[in-house]
Amino acid sequence: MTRAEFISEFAGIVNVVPEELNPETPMESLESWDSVAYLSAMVLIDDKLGLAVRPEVLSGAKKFGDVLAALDSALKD
Amino acid sequence: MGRSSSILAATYELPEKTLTYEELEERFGAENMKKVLSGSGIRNRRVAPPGVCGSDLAHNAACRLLDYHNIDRQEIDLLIFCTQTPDYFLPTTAAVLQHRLGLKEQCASFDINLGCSQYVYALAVAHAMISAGVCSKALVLTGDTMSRTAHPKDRSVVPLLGDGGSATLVGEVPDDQGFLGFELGTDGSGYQYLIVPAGAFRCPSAEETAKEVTDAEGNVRTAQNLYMNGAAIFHFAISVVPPTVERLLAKVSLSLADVDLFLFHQASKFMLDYLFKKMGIPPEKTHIFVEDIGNTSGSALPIVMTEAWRAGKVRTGARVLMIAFGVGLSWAATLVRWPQNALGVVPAKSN
Repeated sequence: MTRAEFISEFAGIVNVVPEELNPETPMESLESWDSVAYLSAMVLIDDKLGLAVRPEVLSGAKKFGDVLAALDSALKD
Repeated sequence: MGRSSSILAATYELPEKTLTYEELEERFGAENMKKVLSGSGIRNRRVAPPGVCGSDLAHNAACRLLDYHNIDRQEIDLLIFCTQTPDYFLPTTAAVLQHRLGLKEQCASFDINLGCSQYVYALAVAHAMISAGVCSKALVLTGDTMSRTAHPKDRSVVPLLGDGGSATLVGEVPDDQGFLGFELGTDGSGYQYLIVPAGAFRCPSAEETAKEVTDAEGNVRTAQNLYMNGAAIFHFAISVVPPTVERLLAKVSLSLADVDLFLFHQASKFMLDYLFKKMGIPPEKTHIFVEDIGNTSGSALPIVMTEAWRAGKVRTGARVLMIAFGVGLSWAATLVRWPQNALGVVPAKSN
């Protein structure tokens, strides 16, 4: 999965358009980023990237760039 | 090699009252409940009224099973009651049930406290005791009222939890039938992800533990209520279930394609759908029964097994793989070749 594809699918989970997401986007600014969204994000990452990320990686992310950084090795450019 | 054993008969009991989606919409708001439904697939849940314990549900299921199959209660020489919501701190609730059910005094009776995985653990213990010649006919009961452990204003758990009980008869079967193998495991490093922190002896109930705390998502609970880190449990499930199934099948030299039916702990439809997809298990080889009763903890697996049996998916000679996982963190899987001498499932009553 490319970085752009991941951003597009992640945007769907948090109910924003992909253009609203950039590495500096604060996770707390995403109203739909909650414990239910964590599950959808974990499925996306496990299913499409083959990574079983620990939930703290998601719940502890301050900005969207933190999520991208954790997945960096699995995302294609 | 010891004697072979198997599940011979089963049924379950649910409380009559349904806590509906609409009731929880009023409590938590429509938008929140829409999210909960999409993230769990659970619409309604059965909840026991005040005064009804998990042991009462198990007792009723056991009576229906014994009466329907006309089983002599004096033949039962092992009673295992699986619960995390016992009648008392002590004695073991199995002793109370042994008396209530009119079982003989020469009946080993004890509780297993393991939550979601407890049914398969109890089957493993019953099988081992029968195989070793310690006992010959076992009644494995489950019963929990987990809804009562949740704070009414905690939407991270209230919409998910249902109450229920079950009864399973385990006995001897011809060689090469019944339980083919077990795979059991524990990861206690995650004990804090699903816990009632206060009220026992590590942290007794006190004024401080009864104080309500509101978390970042607006959920209210006290230290005496159930806490669940849903994301951590989900991560645990998708990490541990596939390799456990692989190890179990490797032990018995079989592959996924050799299994006729996969019955998983009914944590949530969302989780089950993903696990089956991830493992390449087709829907026709599965059974799901959670949407209208909720996650009934350690009773969820025997309940879905009973429903699959009633639906004709559990047949003589079929290989049925069951796995349960959750609080502990703990997991257990077994593969059963359904025996020729199974008595059968108890027909549904109007639950």
